[in-house]
Amino acid sequence: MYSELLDQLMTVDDVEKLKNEVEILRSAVFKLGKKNEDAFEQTLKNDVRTWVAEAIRKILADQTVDKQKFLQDLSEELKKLKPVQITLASQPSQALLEKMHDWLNVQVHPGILLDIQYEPAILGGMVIAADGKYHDFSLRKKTLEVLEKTNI
Amino acid sequence: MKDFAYYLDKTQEIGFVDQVFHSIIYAHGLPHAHPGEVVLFETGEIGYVLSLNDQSVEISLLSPPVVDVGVRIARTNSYLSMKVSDDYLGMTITSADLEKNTFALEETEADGRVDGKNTDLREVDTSKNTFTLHKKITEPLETGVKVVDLLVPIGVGQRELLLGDRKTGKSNFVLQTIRTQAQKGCICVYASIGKSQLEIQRLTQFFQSEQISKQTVFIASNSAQRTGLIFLTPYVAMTVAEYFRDQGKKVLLVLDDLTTHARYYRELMLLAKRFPGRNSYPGDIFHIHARLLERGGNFKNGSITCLPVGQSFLGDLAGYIQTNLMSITDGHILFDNEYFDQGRRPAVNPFLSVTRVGEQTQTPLAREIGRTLRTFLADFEKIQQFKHFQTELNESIQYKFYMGERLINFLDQDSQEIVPFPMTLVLFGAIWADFWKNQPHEQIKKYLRTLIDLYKKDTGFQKQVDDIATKSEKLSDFIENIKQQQDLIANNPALAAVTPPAAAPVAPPTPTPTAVSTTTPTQPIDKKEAKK
Amino acid sequence: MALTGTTLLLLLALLLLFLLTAALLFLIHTYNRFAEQLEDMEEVLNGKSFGKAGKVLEEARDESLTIIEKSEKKAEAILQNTNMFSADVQEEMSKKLKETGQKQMDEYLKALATLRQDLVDIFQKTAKELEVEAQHDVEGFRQAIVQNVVQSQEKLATQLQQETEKTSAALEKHRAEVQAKMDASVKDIVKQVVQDVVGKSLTSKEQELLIFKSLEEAKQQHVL
Repeated sequence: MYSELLDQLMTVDDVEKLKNEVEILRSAVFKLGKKNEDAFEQTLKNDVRTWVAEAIRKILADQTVDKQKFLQDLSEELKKLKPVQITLASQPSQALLEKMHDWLNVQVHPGILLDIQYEPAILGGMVIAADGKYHDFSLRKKTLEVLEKTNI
Repeated sequence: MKDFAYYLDKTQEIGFVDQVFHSIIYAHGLPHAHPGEVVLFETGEIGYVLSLNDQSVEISLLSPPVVDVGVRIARTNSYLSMKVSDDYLGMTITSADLEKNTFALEETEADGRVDGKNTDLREVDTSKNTFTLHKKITEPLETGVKVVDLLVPIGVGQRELLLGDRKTGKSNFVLQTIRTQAQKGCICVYASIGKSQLEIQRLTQFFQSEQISKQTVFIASNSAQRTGLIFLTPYVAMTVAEYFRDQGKKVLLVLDDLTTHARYYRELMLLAKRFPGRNSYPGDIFHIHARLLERGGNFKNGSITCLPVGQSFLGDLAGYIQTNLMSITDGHILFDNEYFDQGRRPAVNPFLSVTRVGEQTQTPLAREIGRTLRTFLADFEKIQQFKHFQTELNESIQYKFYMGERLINFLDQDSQEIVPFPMTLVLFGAIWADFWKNQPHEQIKKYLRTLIDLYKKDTGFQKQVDDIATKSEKLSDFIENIKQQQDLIANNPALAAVTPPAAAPVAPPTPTPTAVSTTTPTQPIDKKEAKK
Repeated sequence: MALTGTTLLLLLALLLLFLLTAALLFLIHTYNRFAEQLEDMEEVLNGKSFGKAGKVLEEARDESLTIIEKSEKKAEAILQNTNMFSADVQEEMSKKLKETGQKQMDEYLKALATLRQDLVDIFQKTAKELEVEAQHDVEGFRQAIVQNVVQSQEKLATQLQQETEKTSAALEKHRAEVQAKMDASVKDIVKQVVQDVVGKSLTSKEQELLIFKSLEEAKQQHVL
C-alpha cells in the first residue's frame, strides 16, 4: 500500500518532507475547510507536493481504507526507515542521486534511503555507514594505502 | 592514544550521538559495543559504554566539553585501562591527568610525566577472582593513634571503615595513619573523591610538606569534573594499589569518601533513567562498593589495607550507604559527635567501634590491655551519672573516677602527634601503675610528650622500651615490670626539663589500687532511707 | 779452691781481730760486773759503815779504772797493728788485682777485636747479598712497569675503539631518526599535495565513476 510513496523516497530530506506533509494531513482530517469544503482535500491541493497528493488520492480512492489509520500507519512506516549514510567528496546533482537510487533499488534491494553527507577531504568515491557499520571506499584511503606501500 | 580515524578504520563500526543528558549520551550504531568499553568521539572526547538497549547505546561521558548531537563515535575494542608505573610515587593525579594521560587505550608514545619504560597497562574496573591468593591477616597495622592501636586495632590487609559526621576528625586520623605507615616504608594511595579544589590543594601541600610524598600517590577528582570521572576515581586508586601490591609491597589505600561516591553514582544512574531504589539510589549501589573493596586484602604476595571513609548525618548509623559499607568491611571506627563536642581528640567511640580481625594480630599482652581498658572505660562511662556524688561515694568508685580521667587524658592525642605502639603500651602501663601521682593532667601530658620524643631520638631508650613492651605476656607481669622501671619512665632525667619547680598536687583519692571490678555500679543512695 | 798466701794472712788478721774484740768485750763485761758488785757493796757499806768501806771502795774503783785504761790502750795498740797488718795485705791484694785486671782487660780487648772482625765480615757478606737481591727486585719492577704500560696502552686502544664504535652507532641512530622525521614530514607534504591536487582535478564524470565503483565494492562486501 505504501510502496508507491516509499519507493519515491531517496534521501532523508525526502523522508522529512513527507513526514511533515503527513503530519499536516493528519491534523487536517477532522477540520472544517473554507466554504465548507473538505479541509483534507484543500490541504492535499495546497500544502502537499503533487506526486504525493496523487499517490494518496489513489490509495484513498479505495473506500475501505480509513484516512486516519492510513496516515498513522504511513507515519509509523516512515519512522521505521533506516537511512544509509553516504559521504561524498562533492555535492551530487539530482540526476546523480536518482541514478544512485535506481542502481541501489536494482542491484541491492529497494527502499534504501540515502543520507548524503559532503566532505571534500575524501577526494572521491564514498564512505558508507549503515547499521553501525563503517566502510571507507574513498579515494583518499586508497591514495594513502598506495603511499604507505611505496614508503614515501 | 591513537586518534578517531584509526579506531574507525580498525573496528569499522560507527555510532552517532542522538541525545545528550549532561554526562549521559545516547547513540545509535556501534552494533558490537559491549558494556565497559571505551569509545572515542570524533571531536576528541572519551566515554565508556554504560549499557546497551535495543535501539541505542548508553555512554557515560568522561571529558568536560559538551558533545553535540550527530557527532560520530568510534569503538576502541578495549576496556577502560590505565598506565601505572613506579613514577606515580610522589605524583598528584588529577582528573585532567586521568582523562588525558592515564586512560591509555594502547601502549603508544609515552607522555612527559610517566616514563615509557616499566609501565603496566591495567584495567580499572576488574573483578578477577583472587580468592585463592588471600592469606590470613596476622600482622598489625600501626596507626600511631593510641586509642585505635589499643582499643580498635587494625590488621594489615583489613578493610576498616571510618565513619562519622563531617568535621569529626576522620581525615586527620587518616593523615596520621598515612604518616606513620609512610615512615615504615608502606606505599600510601589516597583517593580524594569529588572534593573541592581547595581541599585537594591542601592535601597536596600536606604530602609534600611531610616529606612522605615519595611513598604516596594522591589521586584527586574535582567536584566540578564529569560525574563519570568522579565515579571512576576509587577504582583508579585501587588499580594503582594493586600495581604496587603485585610488587610484593604493603599498600595503604584510603578512599575519601564513599558516601560522596555513592551520591555521584546516584546522580549518574538517575540521569541514565535507572529505576530508583531506596533513597533514590540504584539497586546495584551495594555491588559497586563491594566489588571495589573486595579487591583489597592480605595476599600471599603483598597486601592492600583499605580505609574507606563514610560520612554519617547527625550520628545516624542506620543510613543506607553507611550500613552497606559496614557490612562490606571488616569493622568500623566511629567518630562520635558527643565525644568531639566534649573535646576528646580523636573522637573515637571505642564502644561503638568494631574490628573483626584486628585483635587476632595483637600480641597477648596488647589484647589483654585492650580488653581491660575497654572494660574499665565502660565502667567509667556507667558511673558518670554519679559524678556529682563523688565525695560521698566509696573509695573504689572514687578511684575509678580518678583513674578514668587519667586514662581519658592519656588517650587524648594531638592530630600532629604519632605514638609508636611499644611506647603506647609502656605509657599505658605507667598510667595504670599510677606513676606521676598527684600530677595535673596537663603536666602528665607534657611528660608523655617528652618521653615520646625521647623514644624517637634516643636509640638506647627505644631499645629499653621495646624490651619492656615485648618481655611480658600478662598484664600483671607487665605492670610489675613497669613498676621496677620507675627510674627509666617516671624519673627519667629528660623529664626534668618539663617539671615545674613546685607542681601543684591534685587532691588524690586515698585508696590504694584495687582490682578492676566488672560488676555493675552500686545503687544510688536514697536520702529518705538514710534519714530513717 | 787453694788458699793463697794473701788469703791466709787475711784470715789470720781477721781471727786476731776477732779475738781482740772478744777480749775487749770480756773485759767490759767483767768491769760491768765489778761495777755492779761495787755498787752493791757501796750500798751495803753505806748501810752499815760508810766511811771506811767507802774509802776502800773508792780505792778499788780507781784501781779498776786504771786496769781498764791499760787494757784499752793495749787493745788499741793491737788494733793498730792489725790495721798495719791489713794495710800490707791490702797493698798486696791491690797489686794482684791490678795484674788480674790487666790480664782480663787484654783478653777482653782481644775478644772485641775478633768480634769486630767477624762483624765486619758479616756486614760485607750481607751487603753483597742485599745488592744482588736489590738488583733482582729492580729488574723485576722494571719488567712489571714495562708490562703495565704495554697493557694499559692496549686497554686504552680497545676503549678508544669501543667509544668510537659507540659514537658512530649513536650518530647513525640519530641520523636514522632525523631521516625518519624528514621522511614523515615529506610524507605529510605529499599527502597534503595529493589531497589538494587530486581532489580538485577530478571531473564530475570521474567522480561519478568513482562513486559507482565504490557502490560495486560495497555490494561485493555485503555492506549494503
